[in-house]
Amino acid sequence: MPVWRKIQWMIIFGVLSTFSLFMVSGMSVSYADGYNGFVKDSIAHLPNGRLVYFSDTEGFHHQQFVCSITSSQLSSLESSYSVKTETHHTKHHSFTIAKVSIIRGQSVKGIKQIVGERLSKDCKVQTSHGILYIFTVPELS
Amino acid sequence: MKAKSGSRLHVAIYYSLYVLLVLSICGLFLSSRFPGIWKVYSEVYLVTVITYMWYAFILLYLGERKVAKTSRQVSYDGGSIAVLMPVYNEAPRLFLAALQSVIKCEGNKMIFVLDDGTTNKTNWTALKAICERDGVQFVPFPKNRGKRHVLHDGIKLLKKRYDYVVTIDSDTILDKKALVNIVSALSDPRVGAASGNVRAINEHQNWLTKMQASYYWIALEICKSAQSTIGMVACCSGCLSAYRGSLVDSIIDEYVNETFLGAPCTHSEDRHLTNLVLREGYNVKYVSSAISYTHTPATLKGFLKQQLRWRRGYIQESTFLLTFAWHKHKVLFFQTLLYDLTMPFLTFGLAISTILLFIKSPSSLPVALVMILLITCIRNLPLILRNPKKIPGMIVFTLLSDVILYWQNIYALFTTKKKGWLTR
Repeated sequence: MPVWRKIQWMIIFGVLSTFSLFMVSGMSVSYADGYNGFVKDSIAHLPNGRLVYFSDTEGFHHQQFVCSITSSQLSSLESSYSVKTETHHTKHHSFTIAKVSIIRGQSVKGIKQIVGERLSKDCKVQTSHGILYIFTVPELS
Repeated sequence: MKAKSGSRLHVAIYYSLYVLLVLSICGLFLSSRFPGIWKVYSEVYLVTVITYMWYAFILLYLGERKVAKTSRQVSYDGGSIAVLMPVYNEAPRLFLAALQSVIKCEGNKMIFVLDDGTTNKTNWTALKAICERDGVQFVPFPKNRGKRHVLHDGIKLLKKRYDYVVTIDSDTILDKKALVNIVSALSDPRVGAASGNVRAINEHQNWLTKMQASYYWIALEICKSAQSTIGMVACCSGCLSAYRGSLVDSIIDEYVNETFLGAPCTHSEDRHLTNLVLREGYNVKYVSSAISYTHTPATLKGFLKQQLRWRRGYIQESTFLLTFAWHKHKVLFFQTLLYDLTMPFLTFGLAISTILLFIKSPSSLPVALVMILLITCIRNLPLILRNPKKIPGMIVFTLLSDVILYWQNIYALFTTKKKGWLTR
């Protein structure tokens, strides 16, 4: 096989390997939910010591939210949803994070209504895009 | 017992495609209630696409390495070649160009022009005169019955058994070495048929013909070349194909009598003949150096009609292939089952949910477009590296596939039985 053909094949398999690894690692990260990293990053930017975490998947958009909430909002969430609270510590502060899980028949819309107007102001949102490719196979008949 | 097209098993496999479609629609409804299902659904799809890319590229690489390692070039053994050119109402100018290119071809050949009941008598007289002048056998049939019948009758009328039978379209121009190169692949006794390289003669006519030139390059130099490495080319294209003479004699009667869902088949005769060769346990090869040039449709309407016809044949013949490939060609069985047949229909729900998503959230469109182009570029890397002039055509083809051609698969499934040739 000529050298230029060998180089072409090295490029082809190099690109394909990189792409495969990128996609597979992307999938495993999304399965791990990226929760810890996102929450750590968010804590530094949000003023309140009481936070809520929830996520929303729509098509190939996966959105994660960390928002500052009041104690009454937390109570409302606890009365409607399954909420697990965790405490995180930084050098100077400690934070309570309410992780909201959605079960069958519930929607993220309800959480957003409870978190309310503060959603845009005191929220950190991380959007990740999933994958999309509509099937095509060229085939001569 | 030999597998037959239209058998109960064949029909059962065909109807299982409807089951796949129903499952896909169920997946769509379930994913609206349980987002996790959509995630798994789409990711399984991506893993399959990536696996297929690895599969095709590894085969392609092994095929090229094998060719490079073979120091002795396979050469033409001087065997007799019967060249069959079915013709029906062809423009004399195109036919003359095609015929002259065949006459100029190297090889121990005899050319047979099989007139399938041309209705234009002026054309008919001209065809006959051209053939008589050039020492070509002109075989007229009084009534138009389609390519399948005319090929069958033409082969039956051959007065002696030829080592090789080559079929070409009446508007196909052959390269001087096309015949000897394509039959050289048959010097291996395990090979029963070979498919030639097809290029668009009108590539530069407009954007559509440029797009089809890229599409042909991908289909032949990536897909068929990869299949050829393991001797499992799924379709010998009608433009230029070669068959072992003795083998054709044994399958030609079955070929002409193919029925599906109770009706005689008129389209995808090339794919069916290839299937019969594979069923007999022979390999089928693709020969890149056997070059032919054909006219591609220059209007979108013509292109879509041709694609619909091909897709109907694709469904009918791929399901037939599954009835025998398990015993003869296991890799081809799995490729056809998992990738060629399952994926287009199982992804139906995914495609619908994508459209719904675009309606709901138009901002998703650019992300989708980037992903589509990225994956297109990766799966067609050999084209990008070896024939970069065809990149724009590749991109247009991908977009057209996603917007229109994908949906033709679904329509073709519901109308597989329709007989129309659609281009005449």
